[in-house]
This record gives sequence, structure tokens and C-alpha cells, in this order.
Amino acid sequence: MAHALEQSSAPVADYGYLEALTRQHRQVDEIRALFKEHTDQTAALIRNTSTDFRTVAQSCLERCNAGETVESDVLDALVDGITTWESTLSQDQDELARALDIAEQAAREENPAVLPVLAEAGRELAGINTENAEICRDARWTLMAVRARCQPGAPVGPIQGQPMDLDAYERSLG
Amino acid sequence: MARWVKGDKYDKRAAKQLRPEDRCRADRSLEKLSKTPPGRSLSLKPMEGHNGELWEMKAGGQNRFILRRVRDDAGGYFVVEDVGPHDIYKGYNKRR
Repeated sequence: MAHALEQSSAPVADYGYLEALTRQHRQVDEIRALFKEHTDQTAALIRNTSTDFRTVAQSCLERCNAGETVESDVLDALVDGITTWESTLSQDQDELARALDIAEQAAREENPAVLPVLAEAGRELAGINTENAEICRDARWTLMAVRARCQPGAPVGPIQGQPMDLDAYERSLG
Repeated sequence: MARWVKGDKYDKRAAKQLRPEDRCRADRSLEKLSKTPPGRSLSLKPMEGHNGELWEMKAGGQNRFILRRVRDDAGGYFVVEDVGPHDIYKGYNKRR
């Protein structure tokens, strides 16, 4: 659990290699292989943290379903940690788009044959980012639900609205 | 329409997760729940895997509420427990 929290402030991946390799006038296949190497490293960096959060969230849900108490400060810290990591992933997405724009400009100037390889790498890296953003969103949402069940809030103020048959409404949803 | 009341931890959680303008939009969604049947625009529904105890509802923009269903003499109502972003940004894909 602590492991996941410690990694929540991991730096955004550095995509400067996209431009640097593009400018090296290597063969397209060689550049593709080097991009793949970097992409795999980025994927591992991002996936390790996201998977840690998913594992921890699942464990909290299982404890909650078993009737165990999950401490509120632990849940609060995990939700905050995932939120920070989600912001990092969002910044990473922006950084990737910026680095691809620069690399594409470099390719147009010096090595146009690399343009399709750059597009391919961009799609793969964006896919990794989106996939992990979804993993983190689901983990955070699981923890928020556990928090609502294990540490329910007390009503504050008068009840608003009008009575409604919620059972009938639920049945109408099918 | 349905009945609801904020839980005592809601405001603190909302302040952490939402910008002030999004908190106002969230409050407007709750007002809507008070006044109109919860149709498609609110997407009020039980959350999967929580045996009908927890429900979710749109809170404006990419945000959703977590509501806890409870009961009193007048029937069922919701305690508003939490709110936060749910939809995923796709910045790079949108730009390409």
C-alpha cells in the first residue's frame, strides 16, 4: 500500500527521444526499434504504478465486503495519491502531444520517412496513457465507494426534495 | 424527483476533487434531483457491485456523485457521500 503511495509523485515520462532519434538520420526500421524500446520502458513505468493502485483498491473492496473496517485516513490518502497520479498522467498526455509536434516538425525538415513511425509511436503511447488513466479512475472510484460504505457520512441539514418510490424507479431501469 | 441530504464529509471531499465552478454545477444537479424525475440527464442508477446501497448520478461535466441509499418513515432517500471526475480525457487522440 505504501509502495503505491510513494510512487504517486513519479515524474512524467521524458519524450525528448522522439525528436532526438528522428534527427539522427538512421534507417526507419532502426528508429522504429528504438522507439519501441523507449515505449516499453514508458509503459512499464506507468503500468507499475497504476496496477499497484488497482491492487490496493481491490484489496480494500474485499475487506469492506468481508465486513472489516478500512481506516478512513488510509482511504483518504489512497484517493489523494491516485488523484495526484491521474494529474501526472494528464500532464504526460500533454507532454506527449507537445513532443510529437516537435518530432514531426524535425521529421518534415530532416527525415520525412520517419513520419509514419512517429504516428505509430504516438498512437501506442497515447493508448498506454488512456488505458492507465482508466485503470486509475476505476481504482479511485472503487476506493470512494468503499469510503462511502465503511465511513458513511451523517446527514447534515434538512432532507431536500419530494418522496419518490425508489424501488419502482430501480425496477424501471431493468 | 427524489429526496436527498448532504453527508457531513461531502463538502470537504468536493472541495478536494472539484473546482469551485464545478461544485456549483454539482449543486445544480442536486437541485434538479429535488425538482424533476431523474431522467436521462441525471443518469441516476445503482452502482455495480454494491447491492443497491450505493448509487451514482451525473454531477455536471465529467463528474459524478456517489449517493448512499437509506430509508426513513417516508421511504427511501439519498445521502450525498462523494463527488469526483469519472470521464476520461483523451487529449492526444482528440488533437490528432
